[in-house]
Amino acid sequence: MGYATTILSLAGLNVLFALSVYITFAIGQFSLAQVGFWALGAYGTAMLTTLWGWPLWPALLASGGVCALLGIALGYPCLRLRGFYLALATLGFSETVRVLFQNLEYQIPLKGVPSGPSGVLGFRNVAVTTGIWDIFGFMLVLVILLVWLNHSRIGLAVAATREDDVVAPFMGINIVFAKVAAFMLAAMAAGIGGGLYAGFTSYISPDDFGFHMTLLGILFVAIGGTRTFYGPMLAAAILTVLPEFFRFLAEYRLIFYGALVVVLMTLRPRGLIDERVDAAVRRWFARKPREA
Amino acid sequence: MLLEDLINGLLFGATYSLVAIGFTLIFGVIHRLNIAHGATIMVSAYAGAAVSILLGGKSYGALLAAFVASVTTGATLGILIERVAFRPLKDAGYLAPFATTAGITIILEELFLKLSRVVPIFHPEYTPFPSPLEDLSFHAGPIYLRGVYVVIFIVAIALMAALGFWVDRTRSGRAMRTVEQNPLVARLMGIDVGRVELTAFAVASGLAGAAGCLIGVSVGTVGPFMGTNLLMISFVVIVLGGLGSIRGAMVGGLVVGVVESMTVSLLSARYKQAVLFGLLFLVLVIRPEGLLARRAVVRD
Repeated sequence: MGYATTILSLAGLNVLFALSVYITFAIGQFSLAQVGFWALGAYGTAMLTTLWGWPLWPALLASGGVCALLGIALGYPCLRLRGFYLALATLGFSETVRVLFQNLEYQIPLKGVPSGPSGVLGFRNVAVTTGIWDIFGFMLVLVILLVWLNHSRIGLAVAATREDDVVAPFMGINIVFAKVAAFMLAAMAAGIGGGLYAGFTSYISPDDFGFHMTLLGILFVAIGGTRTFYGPMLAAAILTVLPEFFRFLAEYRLIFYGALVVVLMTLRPRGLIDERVDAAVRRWFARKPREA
Repeated sequence: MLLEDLINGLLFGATYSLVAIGFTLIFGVIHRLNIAHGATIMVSAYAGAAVSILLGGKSYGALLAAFVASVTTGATLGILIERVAFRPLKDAGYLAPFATTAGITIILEELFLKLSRVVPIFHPEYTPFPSPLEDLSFHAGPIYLRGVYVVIFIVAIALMAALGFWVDRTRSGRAMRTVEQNPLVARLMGIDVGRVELTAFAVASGLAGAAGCLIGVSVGTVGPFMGTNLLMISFVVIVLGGLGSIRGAMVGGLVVGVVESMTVSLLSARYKQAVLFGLLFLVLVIRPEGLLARRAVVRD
């Protein structure tokens, strides 16, 4: 695989992750559970394709489906929590998933080599099944879904719930359904994204899915802005591709990365795509008034 | 044996209390999470280790100097973090400072990863923190206690007592509590809210520095990623104690220390974090205001 394809694929995977984080923020839920679902999707897909020879997409849909169900199961108890309390509870979920995989030992011989998750050492030699078109195909599906949702009554319900979840029920919005549905959709997106990631890197380890990845997801949403779905996408793309131009910094690249985050955030406190940019974009796409 | 683990867990838990008090103090005043709190602990621990190594590390004078260095570094770093990551983003919502402090965490961790390879007195991965307490131990009847645990417990309790005195009895402590209650009213009463916030950061991060030194001494080593784990533990502590509550954080830290050492001795060290976070999740879902909180508060 060429260098450009690799970078593009990595950017695509980060964009998928950013989208899944955005979906819970869109409805006003500060959730840090996405890394947990990403890890579940990665391990699930890796085991299905590598150990039992499933094709990629059925494996992705199976892991995504399991994540969606878990998303519902996690979403209901989390309805009681708000703000930072929700963040900490969902972080608890992600960390518990990570520890689970740190302790998961399940190996079966494949061509004489024992293969499968082996605790903290991770899962080596995952079948490489993900192509760049799988990543961008799924991204396109998600984007179309989000654009459609934004232009439907559901999008309005989501926006109303985000802005004020006390008033929203009085307007006939079922906020329990809306919040749990958002949780479920975000979980499914993360599960499939994680599966694509596993099939792309060929090696996954529980430590890939730690607190640093959680921080990364928040960075995408904070720098992109929670206003629109394309803001986090843009931020994820920038934060993946821009450091590539600073390869000459070598070992100092991550320090530069951190500084970039601080500077971007200070310059654009409400994200790259804030209310004003969003309004400008909407005007651009709106039907032009006819000249009288 | 079990009693021994229980007591050792309780003693070590006092350092978790210190870490979490700092975190919760900052949250109480500005209602934002300081993700760089973990990195502050790490940098202060390195400062203490450096001083201790340079002074030979085997005398109590060197240990005291290391402790002072850690606290000073922590407080200075806290002030810097307030200036860089919080002050410019006052009106920007909760996500922006979350991101800037995460950025600062990345910078500091990578910097010390690099420094620990370059600076001759440091070691890659783990740098030793020499102290005269290494071989100290106490025997209370059949119970064996690590001397260093007893010392860090006493120091931590003394610091918490001093903090309690500051918060309850002094003018600036009262000013801070007023800002916690209502920043607008505090301003109308002539309190310099900006200065109170800066003080809270200095005190909280100074405590983090102290915790960094104590943890470095009792573990014997410091590493560039030690802060992240401590940050996670302080999340559990503040959930147990109630976000923003200093007394809750004191008790919560001891509880977490005991739960941790009980998990290690009854189950396995590998499940330490799973048990802690399972506990966090359960507490949040069943009793969102915290186990130790006396009254329900509006959480938003």
